[in-house]
Amino acid sequence: MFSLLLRRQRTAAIVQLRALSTAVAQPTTSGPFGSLEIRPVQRPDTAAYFTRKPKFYDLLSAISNLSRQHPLPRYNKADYKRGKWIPRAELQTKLGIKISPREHELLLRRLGDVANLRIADPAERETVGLYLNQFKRGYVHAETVTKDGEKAKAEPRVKRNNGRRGFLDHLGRWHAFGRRKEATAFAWIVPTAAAAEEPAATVLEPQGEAVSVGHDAAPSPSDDLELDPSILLPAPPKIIDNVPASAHAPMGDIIVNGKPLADYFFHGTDRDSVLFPFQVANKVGKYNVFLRVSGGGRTGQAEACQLAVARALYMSDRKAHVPVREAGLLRTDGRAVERKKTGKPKARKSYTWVKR
Amino acid sequence: MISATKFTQPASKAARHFAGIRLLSSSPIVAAEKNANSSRPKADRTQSMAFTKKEAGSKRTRSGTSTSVNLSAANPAYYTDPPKPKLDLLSKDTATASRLNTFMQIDDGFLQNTGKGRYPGHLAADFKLFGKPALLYRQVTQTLVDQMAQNAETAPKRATVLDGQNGAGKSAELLKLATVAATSGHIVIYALSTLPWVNSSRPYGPGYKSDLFVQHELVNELLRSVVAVSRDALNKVPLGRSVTLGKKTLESEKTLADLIDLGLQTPSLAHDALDQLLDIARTQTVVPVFIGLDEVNTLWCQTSYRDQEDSILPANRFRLARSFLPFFEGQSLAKGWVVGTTSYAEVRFMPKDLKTKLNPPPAIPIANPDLVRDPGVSELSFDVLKVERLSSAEAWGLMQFYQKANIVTTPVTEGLVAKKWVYANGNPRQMFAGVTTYF
Repeated sequence: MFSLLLRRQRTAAIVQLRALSTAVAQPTTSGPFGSLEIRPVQRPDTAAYFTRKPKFYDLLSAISNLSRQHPLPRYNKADYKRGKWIPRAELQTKLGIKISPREHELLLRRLGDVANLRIADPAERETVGLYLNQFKRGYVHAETVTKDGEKAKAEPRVKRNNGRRGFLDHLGRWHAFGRRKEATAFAWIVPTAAAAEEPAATVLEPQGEAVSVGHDAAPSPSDDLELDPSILLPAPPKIIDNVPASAHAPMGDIIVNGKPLADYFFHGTDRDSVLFPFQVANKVGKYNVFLRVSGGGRTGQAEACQLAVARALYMSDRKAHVPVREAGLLRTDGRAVERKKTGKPKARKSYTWVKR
Repeated sequence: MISATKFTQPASKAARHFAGIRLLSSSPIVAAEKNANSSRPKADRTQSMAFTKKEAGSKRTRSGTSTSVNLSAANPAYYTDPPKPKLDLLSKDTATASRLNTFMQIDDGFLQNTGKGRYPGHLAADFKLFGKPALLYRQVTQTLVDQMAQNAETAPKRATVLDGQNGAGKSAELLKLATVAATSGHIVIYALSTLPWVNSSRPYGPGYKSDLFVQHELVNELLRSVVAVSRDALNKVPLGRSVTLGKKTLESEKTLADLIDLGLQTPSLAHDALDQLLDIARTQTVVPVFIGLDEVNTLWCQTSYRDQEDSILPANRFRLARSFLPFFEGQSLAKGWVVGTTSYAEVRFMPKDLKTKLNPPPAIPIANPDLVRDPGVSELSFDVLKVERLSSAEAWGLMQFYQKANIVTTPVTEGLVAKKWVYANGNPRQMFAGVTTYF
């Protein structure tokens, strides 16, 4: 489209139009019409006037000019991030015209080009950056002016809580929702107190028995320096622990619609589904989970819970929970029952048919 | 192929009948062949070689009997001997805090004397897989053992009932407590299941000159178990007064063991012997007494037994239940402890009223005005101790034993324990089910 525009600028019709307007604009002093005031022909500012969408092509050519002024870097596909730029719907609202997907694609490619420019001049670079900022996704032009006429700082953009991605709610719980078949689940997860704390100190006895002085042991006298050592009580007897010290940490609960997981989901496979994100992240029992689920059957509900839990878990610590994403647990499983077709007993099953 | 000699010398009666006559059928020959080949073992048609008969009763109460395998013909690669981890025997001396979160073996003799091969609750499946009766020594066990030691000096005024979810370990705790009591020199009156008292599975009849019904066989079994488990303790307690059972009178110098022996000699006197035993044991201070009744909710239920007019009998119309009811309704011992456990396995024998009192609705007075009027729990005539789910450390101990017993073949890690615990919500029976799904 852009090349077409350039070509059109060079056409003879436009050259003639320019020549005519120049000739008409300059009043002749000689001749029979010398005294006549001829109104100059209205001349468009840009050639885009003759296109269907002058606003859009002006924008396109402006951005193209920028990229033409500076040498393009080597093409790298990874730098062209579509999600970085303004969505088509927003652009349409902003410009007040309809933009086709192809046009939007074209614009994004140009924006990508310009964003990747290596501009040496810092001032120029900043100017270009500021110009491009308005096409970035989520850009809000909030410029307020104080009484003194000074520009106030733009208000920070209020992030909308997106349940599909998961977010930290006002009570400090990671919240997300998930769907599967007809079921919808909402999950709230909180790490257990013990998960954040360090495990109790473990001392290895000569016999190889692990002796825990952790959870129930009284604080050692050395902690309190004001105590007189002469009046110290005898040390409490050490309890030989038959399990590792880390085993004493209480485990998190999973509550589904007010019932424990084991009571709500009778089948083991359903329980496995809900636990799977934790298992992948190696965090089983490290979170208290509260689930609200409705609609569908038990399997659908279990898998909706799985999606909600996976999203909330991933958002709670993206770096640590990369395996959750890599296991594909963040994607909605959109499969559903295929609709029944007319003339058939089921979706694909056919009635028995004989030739005669 | 049949040989000619055998053909000419038929051995069977049928074959002799046809001797000299043209044979019309081959059956006499086959019979003769069978009889002649006496070295071949005869098939035992009375016993199946492939399967064992399923136990009677509902699926829930079955002990999980499965196909038996003829090991002489089995591939040794598949059928190896199960590992038998060495465990300490649970007794008065070993029931200490140092054994927390470990498995301890229950005395097989005690189980034989009290149950004759039956086990309380659903424990039969566990014991079968372990190869021996063994139970986890939990924190609640330690609490109960400590309490029992304290009660051996001064008995509490009220009985204690262990309550909790299905599979929480109520029956197991009572069994452990009874085992420790038996080794501590208590008089142990322990019924591992009281369901037969009410489920119409045992003989019963109307009492003589009384509106109560008697169950001689059940009482006989109970007395037999009492005397087998704690004869030494019974021998220490003199009767203190002369006791007359039927036509016989026991002098005051005789002991409780003699009383029970007399009751066992004549089944119809068993009820009288039990009543006298409980009465004397209740007041004496020589030896502490331990009364443990599993599924104690049956004492207040509507039974499956019916009277002569075919109307349903409540449990308090039975002399056996009537003997123990006072202990759970305020009567106390001089020394010792009365403990019962509830059971929700057979809902028909769990009175709704009792269930509501044991598990009152959440205490939200505004939302639940009924609760304000009837708090429920305060009306119970016994103390209630809730057996909670396993703690994480107990779950760890459980899984460690499962690995030793080859039930779990993977290494016991934090992740595995956590998964099994969360999967079962810390319920011991569900955790057992979670690791034996494919067994």
